[in-house]
Amino acid sequence: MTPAMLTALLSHWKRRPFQFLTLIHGLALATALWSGVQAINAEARKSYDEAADTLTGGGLPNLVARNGLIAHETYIALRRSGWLVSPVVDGWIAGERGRVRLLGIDPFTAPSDSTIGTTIGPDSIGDTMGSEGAVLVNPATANRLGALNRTVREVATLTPGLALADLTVASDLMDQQGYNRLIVLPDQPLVQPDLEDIAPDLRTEQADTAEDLSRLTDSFHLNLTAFGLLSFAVGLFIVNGAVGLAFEQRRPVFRTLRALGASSRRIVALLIVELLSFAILAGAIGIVLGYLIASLLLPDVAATLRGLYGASVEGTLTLSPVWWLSGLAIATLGTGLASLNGLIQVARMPPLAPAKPRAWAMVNAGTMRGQLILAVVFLFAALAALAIGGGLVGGFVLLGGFLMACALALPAILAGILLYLSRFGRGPLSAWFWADTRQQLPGLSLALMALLLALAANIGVGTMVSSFRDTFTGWLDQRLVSDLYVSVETEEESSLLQDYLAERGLDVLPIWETEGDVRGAPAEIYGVVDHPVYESSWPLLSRSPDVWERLHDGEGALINEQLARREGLSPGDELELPGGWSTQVLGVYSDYGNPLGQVVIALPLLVGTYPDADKGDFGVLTDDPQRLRQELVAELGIPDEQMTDQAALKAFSMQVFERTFAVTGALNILTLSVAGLAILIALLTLSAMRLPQLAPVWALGVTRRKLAQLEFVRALLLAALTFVLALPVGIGLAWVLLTVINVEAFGWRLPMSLFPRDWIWLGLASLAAAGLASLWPSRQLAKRPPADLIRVFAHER
Amino acid sequence: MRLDVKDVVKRFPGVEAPVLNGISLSMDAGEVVALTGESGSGKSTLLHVIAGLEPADGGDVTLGETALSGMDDAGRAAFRRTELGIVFQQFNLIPSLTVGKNLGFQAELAGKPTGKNDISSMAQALGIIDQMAKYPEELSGGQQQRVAIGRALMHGPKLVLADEPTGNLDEATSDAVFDLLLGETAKTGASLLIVTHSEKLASRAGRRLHLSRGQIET
Ligand SMILES: Nc1ncnc2c1ncn2[C@@H]1O[C@H](COP(=O)(O)OP(=O)(O)O)[C@@H](O)[C@H]1O
Ligand SMILES: [Mg+2]
Repeated sequence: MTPAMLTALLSHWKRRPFQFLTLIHGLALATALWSGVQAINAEARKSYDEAADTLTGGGLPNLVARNGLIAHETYIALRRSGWLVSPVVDGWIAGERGRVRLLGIDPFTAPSDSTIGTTIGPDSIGDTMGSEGAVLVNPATANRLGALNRTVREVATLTPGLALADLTVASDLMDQQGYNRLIVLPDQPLVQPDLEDIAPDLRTEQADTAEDLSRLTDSFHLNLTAFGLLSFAVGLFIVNGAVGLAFEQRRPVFRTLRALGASSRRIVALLIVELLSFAILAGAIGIVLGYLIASLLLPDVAATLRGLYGASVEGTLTLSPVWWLSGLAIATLGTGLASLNGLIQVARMPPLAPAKPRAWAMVNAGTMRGQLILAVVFLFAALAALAIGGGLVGGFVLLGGFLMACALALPAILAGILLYLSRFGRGPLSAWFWADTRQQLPGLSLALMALLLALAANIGVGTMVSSFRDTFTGWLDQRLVSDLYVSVETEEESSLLQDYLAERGLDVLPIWETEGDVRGAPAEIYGVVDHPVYESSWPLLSRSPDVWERLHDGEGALINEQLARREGLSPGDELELPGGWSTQVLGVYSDYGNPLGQVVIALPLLVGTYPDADKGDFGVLTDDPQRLRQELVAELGIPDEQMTDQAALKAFSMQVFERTFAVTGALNILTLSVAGLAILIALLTLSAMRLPQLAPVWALGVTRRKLAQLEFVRALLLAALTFVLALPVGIGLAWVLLTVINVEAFGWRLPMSLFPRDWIWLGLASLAAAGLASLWPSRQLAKRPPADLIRVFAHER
Repeated sequence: MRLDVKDVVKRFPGVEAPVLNGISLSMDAGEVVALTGESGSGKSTLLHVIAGLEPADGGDVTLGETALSGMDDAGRAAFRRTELGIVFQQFNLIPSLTVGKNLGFQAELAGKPTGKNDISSMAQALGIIDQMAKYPEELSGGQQQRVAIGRALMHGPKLVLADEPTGNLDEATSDAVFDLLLGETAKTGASLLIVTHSEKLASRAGRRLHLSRGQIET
């Protein structure tokens, strides 16, 4: 009996191939967008882990100089005194498509059980050693080093974006004398002289872990994940619509099967089997699409991460089976979610229920009221999450509840607006147009909800990215108050530079700094001179009166937002600082993306309290940084690499942001086109059912052309209304992302800036999407043979 | 106004013999003609051609001075709007409009808007005055046909075409609706061409035409 039943059930799809395509397409796209984003995130995370492991020699502590590089002599002195350390040259070399990180190591002393040690094992030492040795890289990175005049050997196990070479080779390539750091090997002799005695200018640095890097980049990945989730939801709306309609249309089949003696449980079981096979088919297509999306976007993402955070992620994908499986799982889960309602209805259906496919698309006040009630429930859940807090999970409950509430309320709100607008209509056709549009709403509502979500996601994430850019450039301005940055190595150079600049009447802002524990966590302590530029360019989040005067008088400190939030500090509070003294918090400033706490005090106070602070960096205010730079090279002999001008730094940062935009832009277009397809599919599905509504109007003397024009206008109108409604939803979404989720996740709050000009483009894009989607159905209607319309009056329907 | 149908030919693609094979007939102003014939003989097709719903493959239809041949789609639509009233067997009404709106719809389309009073008195005459705020799906079949008749007459058409208007109704309702159709059309002075299966109803028309093998038999 089962095969016969299956044939009966499946014949539906054979007769309606378009509906089948709808279902598969919705599911495949949902899976694709979701798994594409997951692939990007997974790839980045993997790179962070590997990079952190390789760079630190497997999590071992390092010795670094307080100032500049470590001399070879210092290294020898340490080795002689019994310190087991291994020298490392660490820097960047130019490659095609951006820089490549280069590590120079000593194969004989490198820790043998770390990534470095195992990569340059005993068998490869031969051709790596010495000044003619090869540079080892991952095959994916190898082609970026084409211009390098060296033997490049590919090692598949090496982290992408990273090159490994012998010390001499690396020093040579970077033209550098001395080492950047020394890895402290795990097994040290029991007795060992103090580091202070042998190398007083070195200090121990605990290894960076992958976490440090991923904390920085989390914000970025969170955006992507939120986007993936929303796109997935949009896809599910399509699936839900297609499944609902297919179930409704098959009611006669279900009825017949029941009459023939099949239990409803068996029918449901067969439907589940059917849906499961669809899910697997669509999931597989979706995973392939997701892979394509990810591999198209990853180079941009990689460039962003490289530029923004110095995180090395190669632009190629290596995917694990787990990812494939999770793609299928999410497709199955999505199908289940989207068809749950339909399945429950089939299970509960009395054996002789009549088919009502038209009623499915007609106004159903009950359904709309139900949706509205559900929307209120979701809204309350969201508000409860906002009131209670509840960390990141609470934030996501708020986000999901808010979006679901808005989507569910959409049909009712649109119906209200249409009712209001219909009052301005004149003439019979306009009266019919408004009434008919309202009746069409339920049939289109899922597609419109999908459009609403897609638009809201666009506006929300767009606002977030733009706010981030705005904030970041503002923050760059704040950080980069000086026009030229110069760093020097020795005290003599320092005083020489200061004298030289003072002679020319240029303002100098020393950037002197030390590090220490503040309230039990590592923090940076900076000193600032009394200069009006700070007051004019540092926006403070909160402040006590006369903050700048008191800061320069040494009466207190400014702290960054992270420290303030973490320790619950606000202006007026006492703060203990390293060295056993304490001072008052005068104000809080924003400091984006920095995982460390930061304290700013008056420069004389810094110098007096911390005599060994790092005093090599200076900012200079000048109208012509290029000329000053050349003069400093020519007259003081300061190497050009030790100077950076503000314009170049900013240009670089902005370039990074344009790349970020490219990624979000691509995702935006993808979700929008998914929503556009949803509209097209809904319109095509409806167009067959619409004939009974159109035929009487046509028979009374309205041409098919005119009717088609009205159908087209209707699609535009609904898209325009949905867009207008999506604006507040998108801004709400941005608000939740910026002020709730970001704070919960990273401890700092992004101020929101709105960009109405972007919205105009988005509005036009959604009109274009709806217009394109309705072009085909409208054309079909204009060309429809009269016989099709006449048939309405003769046939049972 | 006089209706002249001359040598009308209509074929359907894939069907060898023409459904209408040189049909000619004429009707005087205010005349009531019943058209009978077996199922599939082409009665509906003839009505559709006269209404300009489908173009003829040959011959011509003229109402007064207006000839259908040579008109484009928009012209034929305007013709239907202003000159004709059409009642089909079922599903005449616009589902998204109330009964009241449906009644006045064609009159407004035709640019002859009717006052509330005209609509009420028509509804009164048709016995549907209590249903004005309802939607078509809330009415019975007989009530729906009454609304369709009212709508077809509100704008004062020259010719009313009815295709088995009572074909879906039980006998008692059918008689009542037929009476209304004849009575109300007579009040407007329009000609009425009515397709019916029922001998009894056909006998109440002034003249009868029989359609068979694509030709009119008298
Ligand atoms: N659009 C069409 N395409 C092909 N054949 C049609 C079409 N419409 C009607 N016919 C055929 O033309 C003949 C006449 O149909 P119709 O006018 O509806 O008959 P009646 O109304 O007298 O029952 C029938 O054989 C029918 O099958
Ligand atoms: Mg017929």
